[in-house]
Amino acid sequence: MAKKTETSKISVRAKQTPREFFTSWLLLFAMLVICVIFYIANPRVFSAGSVESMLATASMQGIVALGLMFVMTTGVFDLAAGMKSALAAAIVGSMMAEGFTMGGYILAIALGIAASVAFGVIHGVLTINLKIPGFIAALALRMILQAVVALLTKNTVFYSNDWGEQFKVIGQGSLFGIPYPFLIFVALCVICWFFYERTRTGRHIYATGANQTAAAQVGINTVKIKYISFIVGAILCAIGGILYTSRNFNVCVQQGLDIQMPAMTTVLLGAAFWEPGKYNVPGCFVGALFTVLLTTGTFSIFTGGLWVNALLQGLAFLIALGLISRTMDGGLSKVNFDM
Amino acid sequence: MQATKKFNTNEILQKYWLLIFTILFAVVVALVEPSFLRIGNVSSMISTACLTAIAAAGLVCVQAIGEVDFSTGEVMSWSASMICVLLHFGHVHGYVAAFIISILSCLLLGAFNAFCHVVLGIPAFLATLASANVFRAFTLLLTDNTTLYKGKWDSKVFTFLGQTKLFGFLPMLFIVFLIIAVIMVFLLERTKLGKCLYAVGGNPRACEYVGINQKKYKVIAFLICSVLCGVSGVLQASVANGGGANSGDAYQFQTILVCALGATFIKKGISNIPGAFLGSVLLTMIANAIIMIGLPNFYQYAAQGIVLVAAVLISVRIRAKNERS
Repeated sequence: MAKKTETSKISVRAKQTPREFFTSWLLLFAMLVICVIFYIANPRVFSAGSVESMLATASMQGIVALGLMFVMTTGVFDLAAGMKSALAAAIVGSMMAEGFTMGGYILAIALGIAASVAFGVIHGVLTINLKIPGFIAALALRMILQAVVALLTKNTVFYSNDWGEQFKVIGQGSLFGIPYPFLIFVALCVICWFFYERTRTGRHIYATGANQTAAAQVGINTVKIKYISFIVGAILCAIGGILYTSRNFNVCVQQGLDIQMPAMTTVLLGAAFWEPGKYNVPGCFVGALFTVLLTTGTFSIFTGGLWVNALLQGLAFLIALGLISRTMDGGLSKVNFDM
Repeated sequence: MQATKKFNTNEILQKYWLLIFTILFAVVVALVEPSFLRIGNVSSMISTACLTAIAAAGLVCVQAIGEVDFSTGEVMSWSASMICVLLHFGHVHGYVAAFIISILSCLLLGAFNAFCHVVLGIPAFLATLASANVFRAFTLLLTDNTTLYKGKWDSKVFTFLGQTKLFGFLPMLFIVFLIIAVIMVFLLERTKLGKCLYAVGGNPRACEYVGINQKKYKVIAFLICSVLCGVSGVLQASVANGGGANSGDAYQFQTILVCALGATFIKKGISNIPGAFLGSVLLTMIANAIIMIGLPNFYQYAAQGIVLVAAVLISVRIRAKNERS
């Protein structure tokens, strides 16, 4: 199986036109260019502390983006991904208490992930079994989760001194100056890449998203595959959310709302990288670094860089999308908006 | 005979159950908390609902062509900020001129959306997500990230549309909404333009065969949407006594929610203006009732989410049942 995929991949690669080749590396090239520009404008963007913080932020955003990628591959525009991550964080936050042992933390984190998965499954039931358009189900879930998270966090920026120092480690600790979240992100990227590109299930997820009817006709159990993508997506979102809480040492509703759009941008910028027109793991990795670099850089160069940042993010997004739709025939996999 | 009669009640139920549910909801809340029906409360609810409904009426056009617009909220912020800046810094004398300029400037934003979707060929939901960022940048630049409040300029004229109540209870906003709704319903249901918009969304391939210029209608839909969002933004500024880059934030998803609810009313699965209005009334009532009863306000999100799922679920089920029989 693995070998077959590889050979077919090589043949696809060989057919790449120069234009497609250009598109597929543009994001990395653009990132290097803005690195140089930022370095000239303000070298402190690349001070050790700043780089550490950028890597950590990119990791948390990137992990949620990976989760979103799996759901979006099957053609569901998941507006609830950010809130799923906040839910896991809120559950972990509300469970932790003074004098927690290691087992306690593991249990709390497992329950947090389980809750996120539960909502992933509910999302699946609503879209797959009850045939509600995935986008509307996501919108509704987002609102319901907003209330659940507000309830768990008492509608405040929730934190507690009882959470303990151990909980800080996963988000704030670092190994030789590389923050743990980034190491976790890299590990998850490798796992996800292997799962997505090199396993039967991963290829089936892609096939289901590309053409559901065809996938069903060649004997893929599309219902099962869709559920798997919802569950994997929810697990990744939960990990991202818990890391975020560990790093910032608080959890609130706004956390879930704030991470949604950057994660979405990451996935879609990523779709312009490596294999244009297709959501892919290397793209998520580069996309996450790119968006965070853009934000940090503009804020450190322009005082009151709010509008510059919004403009650059919007334009980067548009250029990526424009390139995808100009260079690729099929464009991105379709998302269902029927009401 | 009996069979047809039974079919009719079924049909009436599936067409109007959103209305029935809204009325039932109002009755139940009024029984629990009689002050819900106080005139002041009702008219403030109507005002709020109308603001959403005007923007949603624009979104209906974009949904008619089978696309979604995520930039409605940012267009509202833009026009709300625009009118405040024009009046505050006194570059424009006279409210009417500022009003018209603000709304017309939204045409440019709509044209930008249309350019991204039609010329660049980006799916509209992505193009508008990106352009929402760009519009936000414009608005932040325009207002320097501050909220401008009335005071310097003639406040009575400014708040006329947003805060006047005819005969002491009927909000002026409702009249504005009615005028817009009548025009839009006429446009969508009775003219060639409206039919073509729905045709472009309903069956693009057929449009190609009969020679309908799809690009033209897509551009028109985005322009109408941006203008109506602009109107809604200006009115929002009038209601809130001022505006800034955050004026329209709450409306980005609210309008989509309202259209999704509205699509379960009368015309099943198709966004329409009466449905959008009813949807915004229902959502406003839920938000208001939660506060009236004394629950923390975040419960409104859960209630609105559940109502949305229930509404769409019921309409999907009914449609599936009809197709089977």
